[in-house]
Amino acid sequence: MVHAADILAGNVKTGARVVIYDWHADWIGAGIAERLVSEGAHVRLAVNGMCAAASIQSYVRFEIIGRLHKLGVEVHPWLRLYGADDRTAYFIHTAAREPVVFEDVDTLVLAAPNHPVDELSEAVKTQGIELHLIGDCLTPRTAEEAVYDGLKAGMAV
Amino acid sequence: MRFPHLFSPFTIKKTEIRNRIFSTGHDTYLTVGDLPSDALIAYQRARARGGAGLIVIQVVGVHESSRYTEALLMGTSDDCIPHFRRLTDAIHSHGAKCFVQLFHPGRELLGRPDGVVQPAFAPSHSPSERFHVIPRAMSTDLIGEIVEGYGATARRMAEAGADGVEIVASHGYLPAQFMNPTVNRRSDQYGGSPPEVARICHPLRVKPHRWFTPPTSSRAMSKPAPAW
Repeated sequence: MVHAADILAGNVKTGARVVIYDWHADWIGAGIAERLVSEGAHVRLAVNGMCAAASIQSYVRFEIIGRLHKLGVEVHPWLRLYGADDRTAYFIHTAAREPVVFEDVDTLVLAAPNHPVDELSEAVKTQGIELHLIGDCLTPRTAEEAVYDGLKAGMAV
Repeated sequence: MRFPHLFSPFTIKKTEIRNRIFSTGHDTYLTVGDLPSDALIAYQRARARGGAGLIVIQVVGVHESSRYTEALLMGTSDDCIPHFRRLTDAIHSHGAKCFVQLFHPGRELLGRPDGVVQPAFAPSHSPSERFHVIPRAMSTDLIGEIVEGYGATARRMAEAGADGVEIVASHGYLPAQFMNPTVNRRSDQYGGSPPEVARICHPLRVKPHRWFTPPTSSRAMSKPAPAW
């Protein structure tokens, strides 16, 4: 089991048969799927949503879904990751509430929520220093929110 | 008569309602600047004139972090009281009673104010599958502010003439999130077993209740539903 960020950073190598758990249903899971297919892998994209890229703007979504289809990525919507063992990934169909099992899995890739990294905030607060949390430090979202939060914090100080 | 009780009076606590026809709470997006619009007043006046016994006015935010859409009624300032008074007067003028829904969505945010995803707050860092929101765990200070917000908003609604309040604990909103052990994974005084977690809901009931004392008013809590 690896994280999508580790693939982008080049820290890990995936196997020939990959399942991506795409909780966000945005650019991350679909983008990793395109990359791994282009490298020769068989990719199943398990989306926690109605379709791939469900969370992003519709014109962009249509482009992404078209590319995934042409590349032969298997897209499986409405899934929630339940667990995994050596060669099998287990999901729940979120509408039917029934199990969905993917076998012959070499690598499970997670494109799922991160925790905020904000250990410094308590120390800053106890020092009595003015504190503004922005971006993923406040709660994980996208770079767009981080830039906007930063703009507001900059205007506030 | 097929419905012999339909037009007979009904009492909730000490609030007598003229019949059994209730208009339950539902968001209308008929707000202007966080307050009831003329369109919302006309909408609810029409229901009262049409014969409804009780009208439950849509969700009213109890804290700044409760803005789940860009069109939420807010009860966080005394400035709102005369505006809600216009709404309750319109309903009362046609013989209906009115309750107001007190609301905090926790992690269930639908809106994108300023075109970006706003930070959400919940009992724990438990992502929401329904709207794909990743919330921040509430600090105890924030929980205290929100509990106080329920009481303060109830007081404002009482002063605006509401006959009662309903604490919205349905649809996986904040009270339901505290009562759901898969969402609430806190280890402090606001987490634990279901009876322990009920502690968070106790002040939510008690603080509004002081503003709606017998013999004329009521408060209720909607039933929690399973969260996604």
